[in-house]
Amino acid sequence: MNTEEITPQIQKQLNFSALLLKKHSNEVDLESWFGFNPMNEWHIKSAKRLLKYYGIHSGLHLRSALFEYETGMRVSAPFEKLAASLRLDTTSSFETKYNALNNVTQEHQYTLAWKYRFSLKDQKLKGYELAKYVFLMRLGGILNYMEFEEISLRLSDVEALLKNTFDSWGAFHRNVCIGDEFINGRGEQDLSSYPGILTLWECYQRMHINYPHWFKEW
Amino acid sequence: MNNASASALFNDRILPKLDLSDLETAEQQALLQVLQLMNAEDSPSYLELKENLGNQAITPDFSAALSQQIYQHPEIYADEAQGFDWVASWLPLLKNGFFPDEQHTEKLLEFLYFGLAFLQSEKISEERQAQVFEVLSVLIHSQSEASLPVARFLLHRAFDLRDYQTSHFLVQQCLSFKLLTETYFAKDENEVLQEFPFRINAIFVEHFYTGSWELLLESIHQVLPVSIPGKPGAYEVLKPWLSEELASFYAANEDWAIHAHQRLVERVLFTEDESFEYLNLHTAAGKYPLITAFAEKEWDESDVLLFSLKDKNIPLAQTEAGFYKLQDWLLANKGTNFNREAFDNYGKAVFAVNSARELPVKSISLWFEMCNAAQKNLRQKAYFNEVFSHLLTDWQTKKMPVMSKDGNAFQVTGMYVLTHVLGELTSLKDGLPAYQASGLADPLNQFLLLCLYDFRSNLKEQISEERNAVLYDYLISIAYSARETKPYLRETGVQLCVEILTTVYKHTQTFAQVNEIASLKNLHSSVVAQCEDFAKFHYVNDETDLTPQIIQNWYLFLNEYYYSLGKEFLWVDAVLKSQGARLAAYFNAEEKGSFPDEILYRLYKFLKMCSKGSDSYSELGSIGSAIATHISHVLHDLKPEKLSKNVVKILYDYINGPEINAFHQMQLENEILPFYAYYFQEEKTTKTLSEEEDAALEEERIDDDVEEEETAKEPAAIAFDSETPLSKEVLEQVIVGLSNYQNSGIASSVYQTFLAKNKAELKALLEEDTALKMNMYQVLYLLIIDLEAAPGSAYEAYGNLGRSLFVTLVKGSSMALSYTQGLEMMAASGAYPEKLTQALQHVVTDLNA
Repeated sequence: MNTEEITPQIQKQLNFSALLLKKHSNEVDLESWFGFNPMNEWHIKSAKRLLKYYGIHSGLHLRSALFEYETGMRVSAPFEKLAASLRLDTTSSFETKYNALNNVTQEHQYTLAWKYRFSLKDQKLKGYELAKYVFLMRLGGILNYMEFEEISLRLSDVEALLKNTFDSWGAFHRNVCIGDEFINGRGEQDLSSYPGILTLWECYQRMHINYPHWFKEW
Repeated sequence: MNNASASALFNDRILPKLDLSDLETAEQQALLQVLQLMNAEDSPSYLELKENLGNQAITPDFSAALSQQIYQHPEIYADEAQGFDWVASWLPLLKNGFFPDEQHTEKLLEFLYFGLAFLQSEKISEERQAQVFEVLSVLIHSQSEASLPVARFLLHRAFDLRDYQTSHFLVQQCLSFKLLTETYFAKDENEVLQEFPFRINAIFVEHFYTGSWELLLESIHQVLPVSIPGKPGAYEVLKPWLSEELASFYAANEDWAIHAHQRLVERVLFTEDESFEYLNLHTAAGKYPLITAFAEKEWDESDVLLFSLKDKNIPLAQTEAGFYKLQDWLLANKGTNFNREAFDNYGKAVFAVNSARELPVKSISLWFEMCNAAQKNLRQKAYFNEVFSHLLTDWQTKKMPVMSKDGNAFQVTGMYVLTHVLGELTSLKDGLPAYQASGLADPLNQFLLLCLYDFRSNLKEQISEERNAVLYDYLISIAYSARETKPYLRETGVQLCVEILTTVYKHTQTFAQVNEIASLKNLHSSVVAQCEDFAKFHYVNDETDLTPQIIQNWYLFLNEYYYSLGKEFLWVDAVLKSQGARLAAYFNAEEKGSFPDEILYRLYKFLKMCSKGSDSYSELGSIGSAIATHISHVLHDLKPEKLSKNVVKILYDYINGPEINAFHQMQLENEILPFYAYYFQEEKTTKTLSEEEDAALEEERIDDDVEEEETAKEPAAIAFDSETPLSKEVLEQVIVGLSNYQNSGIASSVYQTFLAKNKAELKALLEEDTALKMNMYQVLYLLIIDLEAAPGSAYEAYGNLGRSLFVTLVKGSSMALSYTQGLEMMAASGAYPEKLTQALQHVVTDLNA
């Protein structure tokens, strides 16, 4: 199944999801189509579990999810809604709003939206969304929800979109990390209780060591 | 020695008492034989008799009086050893038909009664013992008055458990000497000895139990459980007596039948014998009273045990009630009875059937109870799934099983199962999500699918809105789970799911459902067509009215259609090919704001992407063509004011720009012009055109066919003579002239000579200006496919010019391929007359050459 050749071009496009893939499992092979090995029963199991977690049971669900990430419905829209509502606030009026919250997730999202309310006005969380887009596509490919041709066609469009939005790997990856934090909460490192689970930032650092040639040329 | 002692006894004790005086000759004759038999030939009596009778041939008569003289010697019985010696010595007499009379039989039985202990003791030799029982056997089986009393005595003693040892001893003797078998003799009402069989019936009861069936049964029930394991006992004695009359008595007296159950269970437990014949007693009418009696009682383990020992051939109608009792028993105590030994060792036999036909229909609920998702006992699940796998033998033909109901064959239907069997057990709403988790691999889900499938046409009406959603989730989830099952399961399972879904949700208003059902096509190749038809029915159906939602979906899924390279959402293709005019009509009829703009912009975007990607993915070429066709259909009918100026500009620029594929351009150009004219040329015309032509432009909007003609009037005629140098302006004139050849009044030869002369310049000019080149190609192309310029028609010369020039210019250029494809399509379409088709093919050949 893994017959299609990965050209440097495609490898680069696949690397949009490298960070997220690495976060979900340290075992993945970033230099393969799917990250997970379709010959390995345990890898297939974890891929299935992940897909189930994301509510993807078929090609239809996968494509709907991709559509929602591509159009920003999933992440950018709620972020932008929140950020827009904070743009006119002063520090003190923000604090009043913040103190009125009584739920950790919301507090966290408010903090992030406040922090990036201006800097991410254009990019929003597109980087994170498209990283997720590529990530889900790779997962779906394992179960044959999508064929190579479609994946590579979509990959090249993702690349074009990202190239229009970001100007470097650094900017892109920062966006991925912020997006991940916005959705999943602060990834605080707590190796004592979850050994082996890395924060996205940490994955990012390690990846630079393991793949020094990647992430240089945008 | 025994014989000697017996004859000694006869000689010493009886001979002296013989009184010959009252005997008649016939009796004397009989006595003579007696003496001979007893070896008393040298006794004085014998000699005397011999003398009296001489050699007369007289029939001997063993009369009652003589019998008295021979047998009636109670004093001998005073000593037990002597008594038995004496009885044993009778054998020769009895064999000769000289039986003791009734009176003496009583004495004999009295002696036996008290002598039984001695008879079993070691004080008597085995040989003598055997002789005694031989005598008794002859007495019973001979036509004598002694027959019935002796038989009755033995029967009562053998069945009398108060003296177990004697009873056991007698039972063994009965068996080894076949004492209580076959027939016995008794006097009928006329005092005549008749032969009767040892079989339980009214006469037997009369003879042995003073006519009381109750006494008989009490006695039988008492001895049933008694014997030594592995050895024959009283049951073997009475087994040959079992009869249809006994069964009839049980049938009429259920209490006794239930009492018999008790005894038979004890028998199984104590003697390890299954009493098959007794349990399966049946009446002449074929009723099995001991089996049917199971229906009427509270069950416990012992009933499970006995019921499982029933004859397999008993009609199902009679075992059904018992089966349901067993089912109740299994379901009691939260199903823990399954783990009891009684079920393991015995109950399972009841479920060892060869087909669904042998299982009563309501046992389905047992299956659902025992194997549902909440059950954690895997051994139990595996067992019942195996038992009920018979219900799924017709899985591949999608048929419900035939089961048994009141013993008759009963075709199970989905309706019956869902309303009668499961209705009480578990409602669809609460039950289904629980079953969902185990997927299609679970036989219960396979059966549920069959039921739902069978019931599918009425399912919609039967379920509420809330359950509707549950059912939908269930079916979709089962269908997906089929991916992980064996091929035979998968194929039929997916077919069933799709069949049910497309029936029940045929008119669903939820497009998410439509999409989800349609996407099941990827689960198995056999459902592809059905899924696609379903989607088409919802999306491309001229019968239903268009709604904004449908239209939105059309173009949303264009995205997926594009990315999947036309492999998913195939109905989008049908939309593109057939729905353009309909969409235009819809927009024309109603005010939809910017909706038409959005759609055309989206179409434009995808057309652009297709053209760009068609080099790497050939599928995108045909998708692009379909989109272009669609745009042309929409634009052809759409009123110009429905599109905004911006979108018209974008489309116009694109169509006239360098990026577009020539074939698409050809298709679209004429369609976009009226829109362009509506917004832009109006301004232009006020400056350059006369009032008159302005009016003509007004008409255009209504009839865009006229448009081509009108614009063609614009240029002033230029003389194409040898003096004229070829410039851009001149070439534009040529193009306009060629596109308007019918009205220009210029002969084709004018162009031909002019262009032939300036061939080199022409090529150079075209290379410089791409837009001009495209226009040139396009006008020639239109000429080639123009019916009016076809071979044999009025403007044939123009056609020839177009063809030769087209080949010269286009051949070898980057556009050659797409034009070739376009022409091939045209030629293959069959829309053109034969001559033109041939001409087109000729051009293709020339281009490819």
